[in-house]
Amino acid sequence: MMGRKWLGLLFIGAVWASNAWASDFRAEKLVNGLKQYTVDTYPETLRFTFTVTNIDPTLPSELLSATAPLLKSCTLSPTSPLVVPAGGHVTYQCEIELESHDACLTLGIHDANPVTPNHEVSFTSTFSIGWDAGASQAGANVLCLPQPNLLCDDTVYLSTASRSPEGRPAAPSRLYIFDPATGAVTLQGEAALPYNALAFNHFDNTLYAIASDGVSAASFIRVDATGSSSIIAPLDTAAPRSAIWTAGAVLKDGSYVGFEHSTHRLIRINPSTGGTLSEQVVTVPGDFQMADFAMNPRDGQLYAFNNATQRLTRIDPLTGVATDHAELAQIDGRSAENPVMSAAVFTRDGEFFLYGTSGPDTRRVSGFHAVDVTTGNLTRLLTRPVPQLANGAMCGVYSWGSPRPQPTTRDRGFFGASESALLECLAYGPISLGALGEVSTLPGALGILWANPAIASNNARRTALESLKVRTAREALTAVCNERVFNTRAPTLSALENPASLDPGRVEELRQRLERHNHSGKRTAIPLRKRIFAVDPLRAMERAEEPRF
Amino acid sequence: MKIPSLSRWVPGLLVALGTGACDSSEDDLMRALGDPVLDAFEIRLRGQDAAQYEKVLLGMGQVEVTSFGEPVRFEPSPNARAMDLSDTDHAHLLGRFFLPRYVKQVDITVRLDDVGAFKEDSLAGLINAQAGTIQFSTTRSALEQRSRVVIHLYLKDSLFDGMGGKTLLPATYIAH
Repeated sequence: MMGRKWLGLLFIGAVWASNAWASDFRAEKLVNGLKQYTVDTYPETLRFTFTVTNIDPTLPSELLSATAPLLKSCTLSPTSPLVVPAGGHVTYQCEIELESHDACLTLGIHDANPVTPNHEVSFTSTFSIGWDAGASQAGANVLCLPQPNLLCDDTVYLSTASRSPEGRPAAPSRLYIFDPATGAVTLQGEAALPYNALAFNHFDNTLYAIASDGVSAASFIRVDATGSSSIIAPLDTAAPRSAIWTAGAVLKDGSYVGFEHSTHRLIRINPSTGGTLSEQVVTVPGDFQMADFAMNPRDGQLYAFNNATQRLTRIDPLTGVATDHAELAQIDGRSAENPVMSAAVFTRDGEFFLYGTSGPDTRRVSGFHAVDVTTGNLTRLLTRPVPQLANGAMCGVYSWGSPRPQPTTRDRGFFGASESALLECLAYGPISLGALGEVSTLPGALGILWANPAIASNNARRTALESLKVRTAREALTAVCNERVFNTRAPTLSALENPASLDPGRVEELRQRLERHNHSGKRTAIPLRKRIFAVDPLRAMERAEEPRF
Repeated sequence: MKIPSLSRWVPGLLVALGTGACDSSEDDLMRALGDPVLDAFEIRLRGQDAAQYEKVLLGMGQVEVTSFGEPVRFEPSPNARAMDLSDTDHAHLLGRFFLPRYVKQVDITVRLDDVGAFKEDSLAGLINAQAGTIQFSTTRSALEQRSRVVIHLYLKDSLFDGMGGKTLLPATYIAH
């Protein structure tokens, strides 16, 4: 009897539901077609696209509200409430003009993201929709840089062009930043030209490259921080149109050198005008295949990996004479299996790094390698299943008087995931956090860095004061480690000095200051000489010990 | 969600049968039931579109529930300390809030802790969840359908490559 009653209720419910609206929407939001967009010239127009999709395949749905609170000047038309057919969608477009860098930062002050504006995200714009039985949100980030120039540090720029069906370089080309500390490869943007031979000029902190596709005439170009390109001048070269320029570097005097792979031409260019200063054919020892080279700031020579002979090779940029290393290159002390190095960078300190692939055909891996230019051997620092990338660039010469990057900092996640960085921090001795105690062990430090502000590891709920202590201790420990590891001076921890009278207001103020400080230098690269090449947050979490305050 | 009329009849049955894949915290529930003038509602978080990830660990930072600016009591759940959102079968209990009978509408802000971790292709990395704030408003009548609100976080659309790891920008679907 009970079963029949429930069946009856189910039947009535099903009939009722068949006349109802569906209740499944999804909101999506993009800015200039991306989830995160970088602006470096002003004024610039930002095009926001908001999409509302009725994800129910059978029933129409009634959208009751659609808002983008930060973008007050935008009218979302058609206005809600409105009915969206089954599987259908409504797209709103909104354009805003960013007049200046300051205008962008002002948006960050008024958005819903509590930590913007900062050095990674200037503002976050959120799109929210609502209907009778639910809601959906999506966001997009905008980063505004004060000017298009990049800063001279150990940032590794990698680029890659697409391929035409015939195998020639094709647009778009993509610019990435490779972070050897985390293995992350972050897309900076795309260019509508198929470029290669990327190089960083330390005089104007700008990336230069040559756009060539083997069909049309090549051009000398500038690539900006957002990955977009602009032609400086057609390339004045004796090379045929079928030429594909692959390697690029900037010499100490600021002139750009490019290499063409089939004719072995080496061209030297004035980057200001794009005019050719000289052109010659490289004298090679025999087989020669080189994807990229970089200038050694110690001797001014160009260094590369000869993929044909599997040896380190050196090219004199003035005479054009290439000299292979006497010995086959080894990786990690062993003969490497078919290594193909695609990107080469020198740090300003004269350390050489190659990015490329090696291994048997069935198990090839991409890796980042330190190179001993004396022995010609490689040491693999990091292996990641990242795509084969074509070219590398880095600021290779200290240039006095040029703008200095923000001092390097990293957030608590980095120190909570990089065992080598945290051990270096602890090697200086116990870390005093004032009234919040002292840390001297790796598990103790990890315990603070990974402590949850709401729940302790024994499942106890934290009080408001306990939560504040956790959040402050995490940032204070991180600031001390930034000072110890990166020599970036930490704010004083005076608000934590007196254990008997912790003023929550002052402590919260300090926490916010520490958090801003710890994020302030995240865009500045970690010096490669630090040899920080691995993070594993999951392993670190397992080793963390719950702190006691 | 698709059968709102039926769902009005179901909360009692769900309580009697348990909540399937969802976990529960009995002490919270008993405390709520012991208070005659408060109704308890759950806030849960569930990962979606997580096929590419072996693990996505995020922790709760802070949850604020207010009604016309007045705070509403919220009790966090121990389960919210570290939630693996790659397990899309599981709606993690963030906690419960307790509504006086006269309160008809609430504003909910969920802030995730600012750093998380993921594992993809056997390699682990960091998640920058600083922008991991989810805000929405809801009504008592919507909440009463199932006594809970579930935030579905679409990981494929919410996580993208950023400096030093993944950046979280929540793409959500909030259901009652």
